Amino acid sequence: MPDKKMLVGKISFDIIGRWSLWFLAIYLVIYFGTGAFMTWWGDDIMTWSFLENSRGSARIYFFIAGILSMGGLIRYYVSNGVTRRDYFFGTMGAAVILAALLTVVFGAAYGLETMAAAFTGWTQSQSGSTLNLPGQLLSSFFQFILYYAIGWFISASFFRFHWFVGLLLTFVGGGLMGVIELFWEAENSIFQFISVMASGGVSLMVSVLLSTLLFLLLAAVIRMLTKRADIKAV
Amino acid sequence: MHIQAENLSIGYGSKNILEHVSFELEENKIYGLLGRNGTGKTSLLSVLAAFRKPKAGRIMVNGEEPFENAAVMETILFVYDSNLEDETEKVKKWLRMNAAFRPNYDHDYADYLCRRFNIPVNKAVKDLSKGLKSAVQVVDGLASRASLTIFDEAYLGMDAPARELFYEEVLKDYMEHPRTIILSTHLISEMAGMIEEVLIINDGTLLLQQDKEQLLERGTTVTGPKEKVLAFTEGKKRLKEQQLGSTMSIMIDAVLSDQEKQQAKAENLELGPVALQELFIHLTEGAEQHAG
Repeated sequence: MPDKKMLVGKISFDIIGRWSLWFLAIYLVIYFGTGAFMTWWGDDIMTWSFLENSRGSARIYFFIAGILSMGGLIRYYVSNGVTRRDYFFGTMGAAVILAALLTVVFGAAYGLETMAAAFTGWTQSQSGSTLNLPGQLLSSFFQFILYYAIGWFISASFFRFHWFVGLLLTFVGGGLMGVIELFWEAENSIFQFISVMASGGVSLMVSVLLSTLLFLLLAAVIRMLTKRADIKAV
Repeated sequence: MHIQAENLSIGYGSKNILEHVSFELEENKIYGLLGRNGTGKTSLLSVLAAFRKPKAGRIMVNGEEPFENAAVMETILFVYDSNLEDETEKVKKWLRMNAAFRPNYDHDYADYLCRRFNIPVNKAVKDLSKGLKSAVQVVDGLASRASLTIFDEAYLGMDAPARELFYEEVLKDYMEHPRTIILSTHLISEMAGMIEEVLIINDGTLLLQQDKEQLLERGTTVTGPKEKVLAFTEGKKRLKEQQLGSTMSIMIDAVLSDQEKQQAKAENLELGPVALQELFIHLTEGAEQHAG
């Protein structure tokens, strides 16, 4: 019998991966469709770069994928004799790998867009971010996994507690989204007024470190919430 | 698979569903778990299948607690009437995905069962009728060959021929691949023939655990002319009375002595067994009032 964690990871990767493919296909069609339409309309410059745009959409997608990683998925795995521990580590592992893959795909698509712009003379919309390309890719990756973890945290809260507690913890999740902005896009954060990061910015290393810590903290809380989760036989 | 429950209590919040339940289940036997609606059958099975932890006491499977125990959990399969309305996978893939978690899964047997139940394997699970959804779960339950297989009202939605097929396959596969099977059911009369030992839950506790044949021996059906039947059963606990013309049949809750059997024979009274369902109804009488 294969290692259950790996098996869960493989199946979760398959499930969430299929959602991701749908998201990716729809996103690329909309993005490049909009670009083509704007060029045809006579306005060939979009206000956001591809990387910024994709990051914004994909992190919402990861947030929703996180929400969907609880109820049905935990019931499915426990019903099939999988421990909550293996469900947690397998599913989280799959999500992290998918976040990395999607980051690579967006990076590659950005590269293709850059090449196409160079060959055709089309004006490529430029990023307003102060980060360089590797920094932007890291930003995407960390925002994806953090939004995923927040989604999972919120649905785990509703699963574990009374809906009112779930609602309160949803506000906590919303606040954490503001904190993530503070790490990576301080100028957009709801907390920028308290931040030195907003004015001076922080180094990439600090953002990576803080994001990693926040991710580990969220993962630990999700594990605590799912550790003894009751599965209803309905 | 040996199962032992010691002083088990199950509840939700401050509400207790079962209290101080103790029992022992032997390996390779078919058990019937009976109880009226809301008596805690599914809650008990949920604890056994590691879906939840008990409030107090403990349940041991082969000497180990099942909750979060990977080695034990993979040997327990709990088939319940689960909601498959959102299951977009095709039947074939859904079964294959589940099979990956079950070390003893028999794919050929699953294919055979799908054909027997006329399940369209290339159709999405969510698009199947209620009866076929139940059948798919039964296929999964049987083909997994889990050491402990629990069917909790697994037949819901199945029509009579499909249920008959289910009973037939459970027995056939159990003979070929013995394992511990627990059947929790309301269709007692249909499933009585399969059950070897009975557990009855009532009023939040385990009312009895007994070998089915021994249990049935405590009741007798007396049939014959009305007056003679009434006289013979005088003073005995009557479970059910039926009359057709001058012939009467009364089920009694009593173990007859040899002398009484001789007397019945002399009076041309016919003695027969009672149905498990009738005994169950009698033993759990009053539960509705309590539950209400």
